[in-house]
Amino acid sequence: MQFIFEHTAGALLPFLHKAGQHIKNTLSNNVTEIVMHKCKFVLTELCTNGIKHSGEPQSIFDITISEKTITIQRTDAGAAFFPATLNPKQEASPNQSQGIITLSEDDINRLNMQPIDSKTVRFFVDEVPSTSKKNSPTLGEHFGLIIICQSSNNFTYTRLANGENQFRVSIALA
Amino acid sequence: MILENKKVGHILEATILITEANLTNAEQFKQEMFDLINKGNQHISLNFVRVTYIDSSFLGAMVSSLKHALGKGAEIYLTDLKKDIIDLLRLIRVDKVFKIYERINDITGA
Repeated sequence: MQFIFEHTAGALLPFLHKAGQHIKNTLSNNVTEIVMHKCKFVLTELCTNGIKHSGEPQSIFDITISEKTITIQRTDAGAAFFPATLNPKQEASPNQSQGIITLSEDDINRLNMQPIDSKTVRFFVDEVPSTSKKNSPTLGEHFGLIIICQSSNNFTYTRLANGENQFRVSIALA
Repeated sequence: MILENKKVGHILEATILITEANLTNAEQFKQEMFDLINKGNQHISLNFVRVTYIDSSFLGAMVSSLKHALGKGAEIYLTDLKKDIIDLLRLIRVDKVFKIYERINDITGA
């Protein structure tokens, strides 16, 4: 099922309600609360990402539900996510020899991406060990991609051949 | 107005008045928190009793407020969180940096 999301803050809650209802209805309410929370986290953060970063007036969401997985895909025609990020001149992270690039790191989380091919990257999060209860000045304030990673089983970004951006998130039903 | 404030002993309790804490109100929340911190409040307890959901933008505003508070020698506590919100804080591990209590009376010395 396809949904159009207009990139305004006011459109957020009605969109979340509509998309959430679609998931519940398709699964005949046979879906756990945990999975619905994960879907809400993912949908919210994909919408927020579109509002903040795409520079475009709208995104297209495709929600596909199979027996075992919910796949949520957001496509927009905005600026590319990764050509700048994959700039070989950027400072190398310790993991880069394995093809993994660390996008951000603070005292609790390390957000990484791993190229799958020349157009697609996969995001994942590592825990930074030895965090004490006390805060530190290196604590990040951007949690959108981290929430999506932690709420899903797979999270990728693809720069499509037609120049569009596609964020694809899979959530297991079981 | 996002926060309703009252003194409980030496703690300023700031109750968040919205149910969906997200992009639409994160900036105002941050501004109100910075104002409370800049006024010299050293112990601020954020009451989440009405909040059913928070997103990354609001979390970012919370962390920004925490960093500002710590820079001024102040403390921020979180109370009355619903299970879903605690689960989200744990999911992204920010439960390690906030001081979380069930109720304001559980804060030592409150």
